[in-house]
Amino acid sequence: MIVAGVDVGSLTGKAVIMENESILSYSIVPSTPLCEKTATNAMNQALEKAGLSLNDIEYIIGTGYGRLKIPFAKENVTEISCHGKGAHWLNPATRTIIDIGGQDTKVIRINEKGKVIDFAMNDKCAAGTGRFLEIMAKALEVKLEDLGPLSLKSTNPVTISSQCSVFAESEVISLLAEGESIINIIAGLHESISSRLIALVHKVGLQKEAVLSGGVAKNIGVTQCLNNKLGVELILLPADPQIIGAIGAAIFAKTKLQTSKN
Amino acid sequence: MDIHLRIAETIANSIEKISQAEKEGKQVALINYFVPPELCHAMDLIPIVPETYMGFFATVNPEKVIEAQEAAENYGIPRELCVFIKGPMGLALKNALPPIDVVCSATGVCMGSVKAHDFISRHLKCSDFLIDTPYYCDDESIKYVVNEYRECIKALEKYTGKKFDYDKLKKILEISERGAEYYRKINEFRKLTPSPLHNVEGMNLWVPQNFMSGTEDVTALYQSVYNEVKNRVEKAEKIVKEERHRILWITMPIFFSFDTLTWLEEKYGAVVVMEIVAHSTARIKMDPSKPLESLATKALLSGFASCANGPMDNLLTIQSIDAAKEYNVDAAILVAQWGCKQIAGILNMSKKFFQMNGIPTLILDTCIADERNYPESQIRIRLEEFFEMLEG
Repeated sequence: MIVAGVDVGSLTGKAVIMENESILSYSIVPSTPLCEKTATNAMNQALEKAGLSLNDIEYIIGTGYGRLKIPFAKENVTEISCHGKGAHWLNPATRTIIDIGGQDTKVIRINEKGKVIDFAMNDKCAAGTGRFLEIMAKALEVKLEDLGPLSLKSTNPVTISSQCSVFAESEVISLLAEGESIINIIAGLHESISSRLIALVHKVGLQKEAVLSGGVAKNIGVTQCLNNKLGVELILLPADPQIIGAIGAAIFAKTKLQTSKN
Repeated sequence: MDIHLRIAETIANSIEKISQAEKEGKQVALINYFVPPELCHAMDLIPIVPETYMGFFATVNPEKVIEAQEAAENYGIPRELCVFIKGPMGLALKNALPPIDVVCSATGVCMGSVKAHDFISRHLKCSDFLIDTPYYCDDESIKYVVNEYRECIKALEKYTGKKFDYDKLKKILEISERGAEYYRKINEFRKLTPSPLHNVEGMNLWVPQNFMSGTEDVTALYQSVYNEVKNRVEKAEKIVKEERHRILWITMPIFFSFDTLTWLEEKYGAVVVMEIVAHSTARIKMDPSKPLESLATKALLSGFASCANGPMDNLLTIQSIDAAKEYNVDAAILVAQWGCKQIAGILNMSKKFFQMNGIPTLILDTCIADERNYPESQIRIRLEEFFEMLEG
């Protein structure tokens, strides 16, 4: 039984191919303006890695903000449900998922069966998301993947007071002009993003085990800030944190296929 | 005619009457919620609630809302301010209000509304009066508000040169109560499963009474709606194809997105069976022999009071949980009006309280009347997530 989940997000498209209880392959590709193209790119890459063709996939479920535009998906399921399902499949003890995506942030509470029981999402503003860090990395001329390790060297994180990504970028440039160290600025940005996230976490309540997913979970600086502020050790799941939603979609696909076969 | 169109037509006719007031030699009082329109009618003053214009225009001509907002913003009012505060100021700045003879406001909705009306009275250079409304509702508060109404009546007499007619007020309260009785009966039907009203019908039903109470027009509207709903119930008409969720809507509806309200019915069988802004108003019976006491009680226990003024207990227990039981709801949606500090103060506590009482709750952060601050796709994503969670 080969199934797939495809997650079309704002910054990346992800595809996961599963056979029974195993992940055969996965892909993460940059998003294009066309959701169909992003989904196709992600799927083709995952198929190539698994040595399969689209005809080999028995059931595909789409998720993410572009889920309605995935031409080869038989159904679509919302991101919240897919993240819940994917995190629970990877770690059944999971009860809270903090997902920091490209342009939205979600905190999801699930029960022992992986069913979503509450959630909260950021509204109107991308100041607590991956996009925020992308903009700042560009302004600081630092590689995105270097932000985390660099911030750990900071002894005196600066306070970023701007609530808006655009103003925060101006503030960062001003801080650089004043001679503030890049390391302290990056640490300050991580503090800022974490503070926003904490407010969202408290909207739904934190229950252990709490896991971190989404591209920003790869940033050790943000992870440590969150751990310190929440007073718990957020768990990183045993998979690339960017593909949790696509895994969840694949699990839904598997269940759908099983149900239809019975 | 469809019920929601009848509601819109009644409001449109009322606005038309206001625009003709000067020609007909009638005086106009600009009021906010909490100022009983019945007091104005008793003095032959035509009440205008400019906040209502924002809701109405959002439904029929959203561009007009944006024009009013932009007029205020161009004057220097921050865009982040609530549409219902900024809009009336914008209407005044654009000279889009009919000639106003007196401004009469009440605390209790929010201080922003009071300040907006203060701004309008200064801008239009007309007299104003402020009714102070206590935070709590008890016997002392009712006495206090009655006294405030007496002072307001004196001021209106002075400003308009008209004598207040208490006998007329009693008759107006009788009209008001007749309308309210039909409204209560309609809401009794909404307790039935399946609900006999579409979302766009039920959710806008409370709007006219906020500024038209005491008029034969609104009483006739509720009577006609009651007759139609009764007919639907007797014929066992299925209004929503498959009712799967009964929703309690806290705060006000999203005025311009009727498509989303219909989509909720069609995709999820989700029917809004009660709105907290309307719930208490539906329950309070007025006694024409005690007109000022009745109006004070209605104001202090109004749905607006529960959301914007008064202790949390009023909103959470007296209004919401009682309504949830009476209307057999299985979920709640709380709209956090953009730029409203009062709503911001009750959000998470309300959500947690409802959840403790077994009512899953979604908070929608949006503006309900200014399309510029209404991200339709984001709203639908959140609604989809919520209903998928309920059905998962």
